[in-house]
This record gives sequence, structure tokens and C-alpha cells, in this order.
Amino acid sequence: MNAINPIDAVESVALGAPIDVTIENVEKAFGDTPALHGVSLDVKAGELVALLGPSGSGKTTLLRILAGLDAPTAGRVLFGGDDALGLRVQDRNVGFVFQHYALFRHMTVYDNIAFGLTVRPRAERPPKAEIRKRVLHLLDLVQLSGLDKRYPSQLSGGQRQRVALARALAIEPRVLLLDEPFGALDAQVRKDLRRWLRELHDQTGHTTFFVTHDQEEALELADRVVVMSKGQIEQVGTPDEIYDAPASPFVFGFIGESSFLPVTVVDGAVQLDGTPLDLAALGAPSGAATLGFRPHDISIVEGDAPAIVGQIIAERRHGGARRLELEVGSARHRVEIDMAVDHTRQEGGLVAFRPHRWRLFPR
Amino acid sequence: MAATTIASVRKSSVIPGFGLALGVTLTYLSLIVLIPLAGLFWRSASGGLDEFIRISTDPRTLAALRLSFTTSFVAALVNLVFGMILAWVLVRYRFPGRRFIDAVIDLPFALPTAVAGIALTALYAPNGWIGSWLAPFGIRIAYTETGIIIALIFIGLPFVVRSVQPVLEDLDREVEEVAATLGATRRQTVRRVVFPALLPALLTGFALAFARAVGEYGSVIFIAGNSPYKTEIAPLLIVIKLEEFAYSGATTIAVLMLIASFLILLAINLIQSWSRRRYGDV
Repeated sequence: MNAINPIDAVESVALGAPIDVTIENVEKAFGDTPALHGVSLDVKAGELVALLGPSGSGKTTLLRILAGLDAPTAGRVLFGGDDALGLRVQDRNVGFVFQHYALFRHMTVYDNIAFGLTVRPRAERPPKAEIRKRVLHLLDLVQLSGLDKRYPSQLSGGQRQRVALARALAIEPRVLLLDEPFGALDAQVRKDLRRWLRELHDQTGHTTFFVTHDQEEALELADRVVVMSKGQIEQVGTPDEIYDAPASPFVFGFIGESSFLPVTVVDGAVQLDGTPLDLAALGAPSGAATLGFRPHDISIVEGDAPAIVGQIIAERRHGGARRLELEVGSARHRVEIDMAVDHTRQEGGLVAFRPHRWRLFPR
Repeated sequence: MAATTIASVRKSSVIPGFGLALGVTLTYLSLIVLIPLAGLFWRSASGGLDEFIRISTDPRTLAALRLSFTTSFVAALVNLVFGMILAWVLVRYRFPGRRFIDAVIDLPFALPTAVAGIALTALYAPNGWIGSWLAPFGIRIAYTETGIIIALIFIGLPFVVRSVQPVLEDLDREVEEVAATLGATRRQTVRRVVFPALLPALLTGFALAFARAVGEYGSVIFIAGNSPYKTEIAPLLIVIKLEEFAYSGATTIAVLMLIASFLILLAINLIQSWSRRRYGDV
């Protein structure tokens, strides 16, 4: 498959102005199993928001509630200040894209994209020529010009997903909802589509939610990332905030690679097994805490300076570095660190290191 | 050179045993289907062309053939509609007794058709449970074409249900949800999204129910009344000819039925392969 070219200057598709979306204390339970606990979120018009979390975190449930495919047990959803929950799916005017495309396989690409326009009541339905113009324009936008007479079975996965997107855009949605849109595609296509979607969003400016479990995708694509876990929002922030200032061990662990050690904070200094680590924890409350750091944010310590000392359990090549798995302290906690490939290790399989960037989470 | 070509062709096939499998298939088909059918044609030709034309233009033969094909067609149509509804209910809703109903669907397969015929006649005869209710209104079911159609509906019921059910089960709910988000009403979704997806399976079910009905004998003869020119089906006429030792007559009618059935089934199959080529699988 060819790389997807940047979008040429195409006129904007979104005729309606993008709208704010407000989610207030939304609760959802399937039978006795709660899926969402009091989720609240404000999204500005035109924002591209990632709902990020592991499976079962409630992110898809939230997306389906926004679309009207599921109804919340309690709470409010406002589209541009107006109640959206009172509207049926059909009247909510959202574009929804499923992970597995959900294309109408008995229709051509053209008919798929035109579907949302052709099912409108006769009075609101655009004339045939107008529909044709809009479909061809959308095909151009998703870079599938000339494939309008194909059937979905004759397209590649990436092409099918772009047809699904064009079909959702055809109804001039107020909000665009994407459920793991790249989940079923292979890595290279996924990367291309990701960049392409970002450009498309910059161009069309829809308020967009997309669900993903891929933190890299969320950080690269979104204006803001909503990290969810067990039906609750753990943190909302820009990719920088989420990555650099994770609010909880869960977010820290979910965004990027991470290692954790149980430590104690005594008078603003961090101690491991009673040994000071020379890590300043100004303002942190004294008591038990969890120290989190990323494998690449460490320095190897030579000599007798205060450090975390660990026994090497395993090592493997990791990109440009060597990834070591260590057992640390009397409780033999497992952590991972990166070391330069040409670094000579100390005798006895022991390594001393100190994180130069870290987070402390009180326990 | 030739030897290496063959060897490389053999090697390139991942699934082994094509030659053997095809051989078994052809032998089996020949023994079970083709040779008996060839015998039928040969037998029908034994009386000569004049005899063949005389029997096949005989008004009684034509009436029986017309009756068989029209009643089978109507019965298959009814089964098409109600089979689809049954399959829909069994797949889409969860209710107590669903498994039981699911099992009941197959009963017409298992029941000796004569038993079904006797039961239906007892019900619909002018003095039967249902027939006695209808008789005062002048509605007669047993011993009329309606009776034949009811018997054929009974024996053809499982075909449409069983061919539509798995397709409906595989049908992605997301496709319907997407249609709703695009503004389609429930009715539009069913008509433009669900129904076209079921069409090939519906055609298959229809073809099977129709083919089964055309050849049905046991259940019909009890309820039909069997009066010549009116309620005498073609398979019965064949049996009558056989009892009169008019073998070439019997085989001639059989050949006519065979040709007509073959043409109809061929047409349905062509429609299906056309739709399969077009839609492929996504």
C-alpha cells in the first residue's frame, strides 16, 4: 500500500459549526455490573479527544452513550448546551466509525457513502446531483477517488476504514465518534492513517472523540487525552501533561513504560529500605509512597553515591539500549532500566542506578 | 520437462488428495444420482417420440404438472415469509421456550410425511377440528388446492428457517447501529441493510422448500382428494401410471418434472452465484 499523501487543499466538509460537548455525572450499569461511575467531561468545539484505557475501562461505553447507541443510567450529555439524551440515535447527528468498519457489503463505495443522505425524509433529502457532488467530494477527501463503483470486499483494510469515515462525514455530523478506528489495521497503515486523520481533523474541525487502548496513538493524535480505568476518568490533560505529570500510578503505568518501587518519605527525602536515595521530595507528605520512573530516565551510579542497587535477572535488547530487569531490595521488587549497549557491567551482576526523573505517589 | 512440471504442480498444492476426492465425488454422484436419472431418460424414450409427446401434451398430465408447480411455488413463498420471521424471532429475541421452538422447527424433517398428511386431513376435513369451524362459512381446505398448499407449507417449513438462521446470527449488529447513526429509521435499516444481506440465504431456503414440495407425495395425497384435473398432483399421477404398468408414461411425467425443476433451481443458483460474486465477503 502506498503511503497516504497529505491532504491537498480541499474545501471544508463541515458545514455546521463544531459544537461543545458536556458530559455530566454519567453513570451506566449493565444489569448489576457498573460500567461507568460518575463520568464528567467538558470538551470544547473542534477538539480532538482521545479516550484511552485498557479493555473494560468504560471508554467504548462512554462513546456509545454519546452516540445514543446506549442510554446512561444517570447523568446528562449536552451537545452545544442542549440536552442530547432526549434525542434518538437517528436525530443526534453524530458520525460513528467502528473498528471493523461495519460497511454495507452489498452496496458500492458510492452507495455506502451516500446512505446517510438517501435515507433522509423526502423533504430534507438533497437532490441526486447534490448527493453525487458531495459523495465524490468526500471520496476525494479520503483519497479514494475512482473507487466509487467498487464493493467493500474489493478494498484493503485501510481503504475500508476511510470509506467508513467518509460515510460518517457525509451526514455533516455535529460530533465525530471513532471506536478504535485503527485497531484492525497493520502497523504501517495505522501510522499513515493516524497522521492523515490528524490532518483531516485540522481541516474539517469536527469535535471528535476517538477510543483507543494504544497510548502512543492517543498521545500523537489527540489535543487532549482522557485516561480511563474501571469506569472512571483517571486524568484529563494534554499529551504533555499526561506524559510528564501523570496523576496516579495507573496513568503513569499506562502511559509509556514504567517501573515502581515502594519507598518511604522522611522529612522530604526518599528512602528505600531505610537507606536514603538522595532524591529530594519537597512538599511530599511523610509516610509510605510509591516511586515511579521510566526505564530510560535513569543514570547508572558508579562508586559509593546513594543509589538503588539491583541484581540483574534478565537482559534483552531494546531499541538503541540494553534493557535490564532487576530485583531490588529485601522484598526483591522487579524493576526495569535501560543501559547503554556498550556499558560494562559491574562484578557480581549488581547494578546501581538513580532515576533523574521520577514521580512520587503517596500510598 | 513435462515430468518436472507435473511434479511441481503436485508439490504446490497445499491441500492433498484432490484427485482422490474428485474421483470419489464423481463416482458417488454417478451411482446415486446420474445413473438413475439417465435410466429415467432412457426409459421415457423407450416408447418413442410420438408416445413422449402424446403423454406430455395429455390434458391430465398438464393439469397435474401445473398443480404441482403452482402449489409448490405458493407454499415456498409462504415459507419464505414466515420462515424469515421465525428465524428472526429465534435469533434476535431471548424468551423461555426458545430452544423448544427451535427443536420443533425440525419436526417436519423427522416425521414420516404420511403421518403429517393424515394429521392435517383430520384437522382440516369438513368434520375435523379446524375444518368444522370453517365449513359454515363455505371455506373448504381439505380436498382442495388450499389443502395441498398447507401440506406443502408444513413439509417445507424447516428449509427457509435453517438457511436464514446462521446468516442472521452472523449478521453484524454494528452494521445496523451504523445505519441508525446515519439517520436510517428501523424500517429503512431492515429494508436496505438487513434484508439484502439475507437475500442469498432466503433464495437458498426458497429453492430448497420449492424443490422439496415439487417432489412431495406422502403428505399431499391424504389431504388432496386426488380428483383428476383438479387436485391430482404430478407425483401421484406417476404412481397411478405405474400401477397401470404404463412405465413409459410414468417416466415421461418424471422427466418433465425433472427438467422443470432443474431449470428453476438453476435459475436460483445463478442468481445466488451472481450475488456472491458481487458482494464477496467482508
